[in-house]
Amino acid sequence: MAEAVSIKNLTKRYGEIPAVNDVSLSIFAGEIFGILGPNGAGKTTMIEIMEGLRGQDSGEVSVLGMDPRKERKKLNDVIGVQLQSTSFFRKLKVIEVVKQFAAYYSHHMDVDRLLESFSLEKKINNMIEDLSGGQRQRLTILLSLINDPKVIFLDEPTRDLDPRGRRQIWKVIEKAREDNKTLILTTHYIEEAEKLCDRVAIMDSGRIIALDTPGNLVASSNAQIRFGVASKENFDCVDLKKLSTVIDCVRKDVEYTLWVDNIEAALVELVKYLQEKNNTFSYLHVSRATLEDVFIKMTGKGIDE
Amino acid sequence: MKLLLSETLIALKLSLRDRQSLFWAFLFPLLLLVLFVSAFGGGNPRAASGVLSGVICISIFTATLFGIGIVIASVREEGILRRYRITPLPKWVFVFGTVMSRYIVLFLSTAVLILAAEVFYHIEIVGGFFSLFVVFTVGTASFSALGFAVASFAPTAQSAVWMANVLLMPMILLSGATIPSYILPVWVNNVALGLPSTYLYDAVEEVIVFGGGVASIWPDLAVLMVFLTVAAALSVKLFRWE
Repeated sequence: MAEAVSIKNLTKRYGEIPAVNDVSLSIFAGEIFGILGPNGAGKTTMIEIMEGLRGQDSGEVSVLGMDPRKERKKLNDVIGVQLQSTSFFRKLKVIEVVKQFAAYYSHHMDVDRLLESFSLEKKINNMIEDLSGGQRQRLTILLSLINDPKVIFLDEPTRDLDPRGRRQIWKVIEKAREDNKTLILTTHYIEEAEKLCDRVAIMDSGRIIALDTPGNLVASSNAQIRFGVASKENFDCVDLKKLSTVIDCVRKDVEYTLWVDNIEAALVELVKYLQEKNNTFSYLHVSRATLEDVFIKMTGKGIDE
Repeated sequence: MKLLLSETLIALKLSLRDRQSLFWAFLFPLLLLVLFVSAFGGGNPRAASGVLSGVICISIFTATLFGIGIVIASVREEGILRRYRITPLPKWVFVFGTVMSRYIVLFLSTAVLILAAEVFYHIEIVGGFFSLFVVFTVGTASFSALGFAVASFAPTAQSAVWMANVLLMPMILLSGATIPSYILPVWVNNVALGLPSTYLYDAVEEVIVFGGGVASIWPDLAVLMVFLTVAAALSVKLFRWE
């Protein structure tokens, strides 16, 4: 597969603190690539370096074979960017803004159809100052697509949107997938990354600490076995932790929670152990980790922290 | 070319939709004219011509220092210009559109002002409209460049306000636009020679009051052109989208 973005040993410091710390990464053409991470993980800095908005301290970045710093204007013509926060002149009409931005590029999409797909066709004569937060957000994403870009960068595209607005953006992203665009998005919503992304990178403290398909990330993570037992005598976590398949055990009241790698092997071992102890399950609940569990385990924090 | 036009149109729409800037552009100069003429004029057409020259200069100073310097610094602070950085739009096209729109508004408001002066005070532009047009254009271009230099230098909108006012005061007071230079001490007039505003007022006054043409004001124009080149180079170099 052709590389759309190639990053080698990228480092960017603010003062002494590295915001991006020796990151290497390939993003392939046609891929929907998600960057997940807690606030301050370095997601926006990394994305802004790819867009040419920021320079790096060291390392190499190439987007569509171009150096984002040296060939910025040329690159700007073929990429689409949604910034995390965008303001517009308040006293311009929606249609004026859209047509104006369309005019900046060597070619652009059909403006009317684009407005329709973002449900903004009835708002074209409204002033920017009269738009709701969700409408404004949709407009910023619309503008990122206006030049029919090859690579699209979306920095938290569904932030501050209601569920309906969020689904609308998801539809747009799915459409970009059909059109074989390369799409790079950062998000706070794990559900979103799981649903939309071909691959996900988890960033923390300027480093990529995990990179895989959402499915593999989840599969490679620990599963959980929660259960209660008929007799609690002679039964505690200290012994359970000695089992070869058990990674960790926590007891809360009468419920035991085990973290395991291999569910099948762990269940076999656990059943055998209970039989030896002449004990039985009072109930048993097995669950796979979600991407959120993976995230919390890897970063040691929730995504909203 | 099309882009230059559409960028100018957008900037023009923004200017015309801003009531506050319309007041400063159209009503403020008229009020100044009436006020100054009734204060100093006493029905003497020559004095009224001097006032008109001064008011035209003051309009140019405020429209550029405030209308460009402060406005551009504040829209940059609001993050509006940041969005332009990720488009292929060259900076100079944006700068051109902004300057052009201010020029058009200033042109119209100055025309209204001159018309009012002719109707109410029977002032004649003795040196002819063409000469006035030339000074007006060179002057507006020079001070627009100064406005952009202010916007580029100032790190925040607040500091742009401060800078614009600090520049405006001596320009208004020392150029001759409000206080006749012959009543000021020699050393003050020498200081004033270091300010571009003095040359603009001198040229405008020469055309409106004394009937001079381009031939007699070319030294003033030359100084303004040099100033324009320096300020424009500086602002293009320093201008930033965010």
